[in-house]
Amino acid sequence: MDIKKFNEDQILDLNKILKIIIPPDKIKGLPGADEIKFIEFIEKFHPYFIEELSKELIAIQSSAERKYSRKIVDLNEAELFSFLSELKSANDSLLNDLTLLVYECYYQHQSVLEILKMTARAPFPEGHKVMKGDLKLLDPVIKKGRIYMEV
Amino acid sequence: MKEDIVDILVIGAGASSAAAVSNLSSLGVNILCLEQGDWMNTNEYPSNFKNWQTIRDQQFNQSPNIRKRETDYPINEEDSEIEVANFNGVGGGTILYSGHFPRMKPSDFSVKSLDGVGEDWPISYTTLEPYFAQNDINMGVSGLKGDPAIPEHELPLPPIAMGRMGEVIGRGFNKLGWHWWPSDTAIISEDYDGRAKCINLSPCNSGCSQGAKSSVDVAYWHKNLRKRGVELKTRCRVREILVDEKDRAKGVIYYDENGVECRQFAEIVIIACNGIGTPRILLNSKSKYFPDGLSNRSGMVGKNLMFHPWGRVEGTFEEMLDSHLGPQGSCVLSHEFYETDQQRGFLRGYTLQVVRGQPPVNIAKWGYKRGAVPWGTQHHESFQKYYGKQIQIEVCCEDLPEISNTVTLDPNLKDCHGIPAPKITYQLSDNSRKMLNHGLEQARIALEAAGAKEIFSHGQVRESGWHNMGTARMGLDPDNSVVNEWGQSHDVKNLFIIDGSVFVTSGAVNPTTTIQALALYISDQIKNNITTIFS
Repeated sequence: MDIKKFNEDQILDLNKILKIIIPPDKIKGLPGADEIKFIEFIEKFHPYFIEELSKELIAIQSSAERKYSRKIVDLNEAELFSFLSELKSANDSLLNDLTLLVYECYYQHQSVLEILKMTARAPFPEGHKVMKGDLKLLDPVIKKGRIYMEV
Repeated sequence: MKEDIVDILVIGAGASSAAAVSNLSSLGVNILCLEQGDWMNTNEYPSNFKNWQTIRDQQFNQSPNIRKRETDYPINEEDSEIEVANFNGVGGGTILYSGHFPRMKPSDFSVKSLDGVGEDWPISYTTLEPYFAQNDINMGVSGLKGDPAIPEHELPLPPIAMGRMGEVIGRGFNKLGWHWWPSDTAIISEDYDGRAKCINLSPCNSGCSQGAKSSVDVAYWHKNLRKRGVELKTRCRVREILVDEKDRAKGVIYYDENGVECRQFAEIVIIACNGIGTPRILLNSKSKYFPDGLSNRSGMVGKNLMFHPWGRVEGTFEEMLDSHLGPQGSCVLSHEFYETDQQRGFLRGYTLQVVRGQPPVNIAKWGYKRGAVPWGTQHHESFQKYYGKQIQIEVCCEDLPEISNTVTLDPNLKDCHGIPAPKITYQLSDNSRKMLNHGLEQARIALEAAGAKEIFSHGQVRESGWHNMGTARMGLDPDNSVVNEWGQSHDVKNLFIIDGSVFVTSGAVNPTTTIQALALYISDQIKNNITTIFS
């Protein structure tokens, strides 16, 4: 597959958009989505999306210039949030697809999972501990007796 | 063209095939199984990797139309309210199933007599009872004896851990006075039969790296292949079954791993490709003797397709339940609404299947789609509201046979060998919709009683076609069914069908244990009547 990479301007635009989608949480120390190597993630797992995203970034840029007479990188966060929200409400399906991929990348990123105290490793081979649960809670069910229909 | 002959040829290496071959191998005859997929390598399952959630959604996606492995075939689902979920490989659908393993109940076999709908099975729960028990031992099934919603049965292993979430939802059910019970589960809770016990990897439904989930590659096939006369060939896709002028199956034409067209002759042919694959092969097996497809003189091949109409209700709790940990599809179930109560406005009933909370990516993505986990500054708080704090109740409704719900052959779509692909036409009936709505409401009530603070319902879930049944059904009347009470084709006496396609009705439980019990039962009929069965 011929993967078209992003140019430097597009990377700047994309990072700005990613930070709007998931901003950093300074209190918890969570990174923004611009800090999670998103491009590497889609190159590895969703390479088909790169060309579509590249086209979308061009379209978003043109739209921003028409509306604000400025480039995406020159918009402040409130302006960009409002602008992207408008696009999203207008059913910009690629923006929705982008959001879903950002979420997918973010919630598998080592640093995010570690800060959130989630399993930041492959499930195998360590697995997880789960409490067995109290089977005495079934006493009322047993007391009630048979409920299946005999034929 | 290569030619060969065996005593018994089995098409497909999934749940039913594995059980039947295990049983038939005691005959000491030559048994060959042809499987279109590969052996699975547990080192390649998603749970070996940090990015397991992405890998699960791609190479291990439940939909063959998304997964698109070379070993898959496409399915046209444009005219269906439910999308098919399956897997092609040694183990079949059990590679991706959750191992939720409840048996069908006695009433499930007599719905016509009891409720005046569907058809009665020509066999009963009692017929299958010893085969259920044998299969539980063979597979390694965990559970708790004494469930008052099913005839009493022993289980070889204690139940899997239900966790805090199991206690919380159990208290909710108790508050309502409803039935609930730890699910019978085809996951080994203790070391068993040379396999190591479950360590709660969580994503069972993308393959078990531990080998604790009883997919039939680990539970059956390794043992089957140690028996004399049993052979399994992978990457062999059957195109059609051949018949002679005496209406006897002669063998099959298949494509081998190199794409070479081969013929395999056999004394007995057994089809085990489940509710979509089986009618596909039969309909593709047209000849001058069977112009409408093999074993289709009744016209019933591909008709009466049943899934289980499916709903999903997610409850979010304030406290951390660690609900995302543990075998994903199995925890506890409620059969409070399983049997018919006409006051509910529909016939038959459903299971409330309590499953674990979702992993982080699903929490975020599903939450985004319904507006609960948004962009921007609210994002982090919203996400953490749900993670590890959700209990999900799935509503598994009994589907009744409808002649208009079908598997046919698509006139244009083909697999990589040029074999016509199946087309699914399926709509929920009015009865199913009423049942589903009732189930969604009762699940909401249960979650409320358990203390959920936020509840979200969703159904009919489109991506829920795990259970494919009814398309070559069993019956005593050759005009109204495809196989007899022994799984033997009415039209072709040395052809047997042993998978979910022979189901007469669907019950309201995951079908694998019943499919395997049927496979053991049918293979017993073949064994015990081998000298007279063709007369």
